Formats: sequence, C-alpha cells, structure tokens
Amino acid sequence: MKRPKPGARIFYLLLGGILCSFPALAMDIDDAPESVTIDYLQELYEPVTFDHRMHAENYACNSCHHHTTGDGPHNAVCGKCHTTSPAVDDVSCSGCHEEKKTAPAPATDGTAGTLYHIDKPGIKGALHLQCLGCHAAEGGPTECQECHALTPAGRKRFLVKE
Amino acid sequence: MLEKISRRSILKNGLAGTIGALLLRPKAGESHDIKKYPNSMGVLVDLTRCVGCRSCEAACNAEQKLPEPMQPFTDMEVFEETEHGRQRRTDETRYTVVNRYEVPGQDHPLFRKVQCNHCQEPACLSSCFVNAYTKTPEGAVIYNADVCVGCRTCMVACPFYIPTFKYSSAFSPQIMKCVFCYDTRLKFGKQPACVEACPQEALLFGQRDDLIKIGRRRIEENKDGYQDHIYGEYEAGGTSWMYLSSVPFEEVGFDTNIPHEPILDSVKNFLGIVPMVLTIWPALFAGFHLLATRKEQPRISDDKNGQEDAQ
Repeated sequence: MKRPKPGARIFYLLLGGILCSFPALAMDIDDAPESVTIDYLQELYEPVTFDHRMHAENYACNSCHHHTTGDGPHNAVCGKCHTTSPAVDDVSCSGCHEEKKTAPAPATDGTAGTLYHIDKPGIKGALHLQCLGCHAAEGGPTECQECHALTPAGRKRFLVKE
Repeated sequence: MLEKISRRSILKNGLAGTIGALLLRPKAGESHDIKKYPNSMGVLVDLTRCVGCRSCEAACNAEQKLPEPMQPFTDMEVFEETEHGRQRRTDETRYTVVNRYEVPGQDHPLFRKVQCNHCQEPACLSSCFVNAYTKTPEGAVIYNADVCVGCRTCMVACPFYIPTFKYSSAFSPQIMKCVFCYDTRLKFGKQPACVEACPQEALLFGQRDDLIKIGRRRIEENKDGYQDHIYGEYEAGGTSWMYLSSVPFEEVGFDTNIPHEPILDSVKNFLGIVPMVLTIWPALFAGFHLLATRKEQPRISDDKNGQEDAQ
C-alpha cells in the first residue's frame, strides 16, 4: 500500500470539512418527520407510531442512522469507511434493511461492500436490535406489549385469552 | 471316548473362533468422514440477541399444530418453572422452549432456545433399527411415525435429549420432535416458523457453511462480546443448528462434554456385531445342537445294548 502524500492528505481533510459543513448534505432536525408509522408486522401486531421528533431532539441522528444522515458514523466500525460519507437520499431504515428470508452468502471478492455489509440485519431485526438495546440502556420500554398491541391474529398466535 | 473329546474341541474352537471373528471384524476406534450435504441449511442462534419473548415458541406451536399450553405465550412466569430440578424441556406438546439463565457478572439474564439441533450425523438415526429417521439433503432430521415401533432408543441415543414420546396417546404413540418445519417450509426453501417469528434476528437461517463464516465474523468484530467458539460447528460431529454466546456455554445450559466425533463413532464397534449376532449365531448354534444330538443317538442305543448284554 502506498501512503498518500502529506499534500493529498490535507486536500482530503479540507474536502471532508467542506462536505460536512455544507448544509444540504448534513441533515437538519427540521427535515426530520414528526413521527414514523412502523407497520411491517401488521399481521400479529398493530402498527407502531414512532415519535421521531422526541428521539431526534434527544439523540444524535447517527445513533440510529449509522452514516446516512451525513453527520459521521457513531459506530467505530462504520467509521473505517464512512467518516466523511455525505447524507443519502433515502435515510429510512427500509432504504437499506430488506425483509430477510435467509442469511446472505458472504462474498469474498474483497471490496468494501462484501467486507463489511455481509451480516446486515433484515428490517425487523434492524428495528428491534436498534430500539431494544438503547431502550434497555436508557430506560425506555422493553416489554413486547409496551410498544406492540396484539391484533386478533396476534392474540390467537400467542394464545392470549379474555 | 475319542469321539467325545473331538466334539468338545470342535465346539470350543468353533465358539472361540466365532467370537474372535465377531470382535475383531470392525476396526476399533477408526473415525470416518461425516456425510455432509454441500448446500444444507442451518440456523445460527445468537444468545447475545435473544430477549426471551417466546415468539419462536408461539410460532412453532401454531406451525406444527401442537396442543394449546396451560399458559399463553405472553406469560414469562414459565421461566421459573422447574421439573425435577431441571428447566423446561421439549416434550410432546412443544418442539422448542426458551429458558432463562441468570449468569453471574451479567447485568441482564441470558436466554437459550432449545430444539432439535439436526445433527449432521444424527445419533437418533444411527440408533434406529427400522430407519424411521432421515437426514434430508436440506439439513433436517425428520421422522416417519409409520415405521416406528416405539422402542425409544433414539431418546436414549440423542446427546441433546430432544426426541420425546407421545405417552398421552395409547393407540398411536410416536416420537415428537422438531423437524425443522421440513414438510411445510424447509423443503420449499423457506425458513422455519421460529426463525421467521424472531424479532431480534437472534435466529439466522442460511446455508450452514455461510452461517459458520458469519458466526466467525461476529466473533472477530466483537471479541469481548463473544466466546471464541461456535457451539455445534463440531459438537457431535457438527449440527445444523449452531450457537454463539457471550458467556461460557456451560453457564447457559449447554453440555460442553459432548465429543466432537459423531455419537456413532463411540458405539459402532458394538453395533457392528449386532447384525452378525442376529443372523449368524442362530444358524451356528442350531448347527452345533443338531451335530451334538445326532451323534448322541447311536451312543444311547450302544449303551442300551451294553446294558442288555450285561443283564
């Protein structure tokens, strides 16, 4: 590996700084929706209304949106590539996390995508892993039915009477 | 007199030779390659993700049309249940259970899902003398109740205590165990019901080889968060269901003394003899018996003649 010249490094740092300070690329809290209706599990559960405004006011965008809102990644692993990544068009969870059927086969061609995104959770896993870990740490609700009201089908599935 | 001695020596030598041949025939302690299907499926269970919601239990109950339990699946009191000092186990009414473990030094409890691990070389299958079990190319260990004679040897053979018996039915008793949703899902390439239901993606369905790579990757990226071991990669010759844990596996109810060789390797020396004993011994000893009794006939008459002569 060839090390970049000091001049080139300064150039990249400046470029990164310009990109980060450019208002259209880093997302603003006012761009964010008030609330998001999460309705992926409608068969067994009623849709969940997520208070996006409350979360956005109390936590940094990157604590949930990884690097897609353009304010640098929260997670050090993402920082390996995405320190200066700009905001993307679709910052919704489902923009990257699909409904999962099987584990993807880990590709081995050595490109960044196959090195770091091989174990990406599906949408249901992504939402629960993201919400529940933080709720446990921050004292948010963690019992299933504190967020999810069972539908009649859900009550039948879990054999809830009365 | 001469005749009597030779018969005894024939018997002695014959018997010693037969036993010797029977004992020496299977080569002792020889291991073998485990029969693997290249694209067989599996599930990677990540204990660090499981929150004990019991969605998998509910999904299994519905998918397999199992009887309704006493408590709904939203009842978390079941984690306190013990029977004979043991935590809940799979039985004829449930193919999978989730148990809770309070591990010292952990600020939150850990949960472990129990179901058939679908061994690559299943001990239940090896032990079954009517071939009621089949390991399918997709990875499932399935069971055929039509040929089962109800001997329950598989229940003894299984190192994970998974096959259970339907004692409640007097007329059609059968073995009850997780079948990887083979008939309803796996053979159509679909993930099992429990995996689909898991909110935390603690259960990951995929090709077994890929799951091992993904498991290693998770350990690699979070060395402090995981034990450096995938339980089931080698245990009992390797299983289709495998586990990752943040604490030593024995602290969350896993048997860590299970050999890495298939259970069959421990018993095949003995099992190799059984068909020979069943087929050769009856004919051999019937032959000896006929030989012995036929030769006795003239002697008795000789004795009679002798007695008559003496009188």
